[in-house]
Amino acid sequence: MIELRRLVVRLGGFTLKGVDLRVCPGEFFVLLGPTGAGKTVLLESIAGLRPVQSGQILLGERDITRARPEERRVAICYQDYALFPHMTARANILYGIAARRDRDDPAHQRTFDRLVEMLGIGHTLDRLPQTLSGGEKQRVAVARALIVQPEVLLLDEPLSALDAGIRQSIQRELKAIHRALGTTTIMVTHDFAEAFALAGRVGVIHEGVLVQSGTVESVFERPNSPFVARFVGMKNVFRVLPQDDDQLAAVWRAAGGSPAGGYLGIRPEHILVSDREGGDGFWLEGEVKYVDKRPAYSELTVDSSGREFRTYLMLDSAVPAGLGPGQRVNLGFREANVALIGPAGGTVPGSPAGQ
Amino acid sequence: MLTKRAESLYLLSMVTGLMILVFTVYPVLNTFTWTRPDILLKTLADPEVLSAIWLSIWAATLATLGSLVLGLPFAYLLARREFRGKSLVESLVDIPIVLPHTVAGICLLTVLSPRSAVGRWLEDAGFQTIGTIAGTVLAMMFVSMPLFINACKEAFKWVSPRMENVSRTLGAGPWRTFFRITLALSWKDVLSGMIVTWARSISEFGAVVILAFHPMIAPTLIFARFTAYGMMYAIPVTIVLIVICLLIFVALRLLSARRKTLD
Repeated sequence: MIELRRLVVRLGGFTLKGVDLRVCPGEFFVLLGPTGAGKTVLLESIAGLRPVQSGQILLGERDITRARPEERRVAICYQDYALFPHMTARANILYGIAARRDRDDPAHQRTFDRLVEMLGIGHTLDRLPQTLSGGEKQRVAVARALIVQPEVLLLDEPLSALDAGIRQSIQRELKAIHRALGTTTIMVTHDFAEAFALAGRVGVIHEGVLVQSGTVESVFERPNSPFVARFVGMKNVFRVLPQDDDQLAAVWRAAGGSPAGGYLGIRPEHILVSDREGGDGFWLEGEVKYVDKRPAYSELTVDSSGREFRTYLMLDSAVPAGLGPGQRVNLGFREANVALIGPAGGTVPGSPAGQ
Repeated sequence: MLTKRAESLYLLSMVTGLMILVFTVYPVLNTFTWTRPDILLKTLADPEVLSAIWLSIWAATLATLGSLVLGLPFAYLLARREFRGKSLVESLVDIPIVLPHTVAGICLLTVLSPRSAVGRWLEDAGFQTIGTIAGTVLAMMFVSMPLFINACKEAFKWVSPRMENVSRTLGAGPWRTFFRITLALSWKDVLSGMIVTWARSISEFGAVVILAFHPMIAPTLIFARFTAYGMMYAIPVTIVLIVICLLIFVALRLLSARRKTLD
């Protein structure tokens, strides 16, 4: 298990502010956050590459807060791979073994063979990194990190530099490798869809603060602040005062939201678009402002009483084709799909989504 | 319109380039027309000339090695670490570049002269600098080391610190990481820096002549013969020095072929 206790790291004008985190053995934990949130700094601090101002990093029973990077058994893979350009893929992978006294141990060769086979990089071994594709580079970088059998594997946005097609296959491979080897893994990303696909638990980091952590479902369905809500794809987040005389206030009251008010969040995929009102749940009338076309769906921005709602319209939707700006539509959603986010940043107790 | 402008820009560049090449190469080549082969052969047999040339080569080599030993770690520090006053430190390193060379010599003399505390201390320790090879080497190092430090600093900056980070997390210590990754990726630029440092050292005259007129290095001998006997006596030594310097320079340049663009 790796545990961070009140970790404070300063880097120029940026500070990681007292991060507490516990990642269980064999877990795949994903740290989510926007650019500049401190994700990479946190990873580099765990790896011993950034000095820690205060707090502790524990790896199992060991306090590694002040340990040198080479003593930690924590390996890191960067977004830009950081392969050694003067070495072949084979030499890159074996780099961590080459300096060891037991480098001739046949067990290393077996690990090497296994990783090469799992990652499908046998054909790259005698090539220099600059002749490899992005996906091949990433696989070599992962093999290089795993061959030293680290207790913790740190992945710094491993998929962000890859094309969409390759990204999905590497994502599957990372999952398969994690299942096969069981290495405790902490990955950082700014893409919540990646986190959803890979993580057991996630943490959201913002301006050096770990603002929420928990299971993927809990963070995605019960964000504790408007920031987290928006970051995990809840594109509709509105300030609500229960005493107001509008539909959202009615939803807030019906859902048992705090009398002090707060924020109400709805994921775009949970909003139904119809050209006529009807059915269960809550319905709002609005005017289409924008229609942003995507390959498999359109993203609609609808103005309802001065609030902009975002929703998706699938290509096979029952709504008439040719829906465009200026047209009136009805937006429907169910109470169960509404997240009530309390004024102090916590999910409102008793909210349907918070149960 | 754009094409015409671009063409005129290239034309101007070519003309100025040609002017620069003529300005640089023509005086060097023209020097060869001012003597005869038999005089050149006689010069090559002159023990004073040979001794001065050998001394120039050795002193420049020692100055380069001194810069390597002292400058390489310092350049690494400047490339990798941010600290308060770093810009000031970098400016201080560059001071010898902006000083006139005789001024550099005088500055060194104020420190190394037996009338100064450092000079007396060195003399008491049995280390003579004024009028010795050591003085020549120190003068050469003083004027050339900034070039080496700057060249290495830029070379190290080119190596991504992330590669060093990965190396450390894979179990390699800082020294192994430096030699296997940082230096392994930048050695060609470091070697280029050494060549420039050596070239700058062997061409130094102003600072050396203040600290150590004797034993004479080649530029001092050329100056002495020029002032005492005139141009015709200085030119054969000049030509021998040009040929030797160019041969060594070309050989070293070939060793450090231009760095390939990696990754």
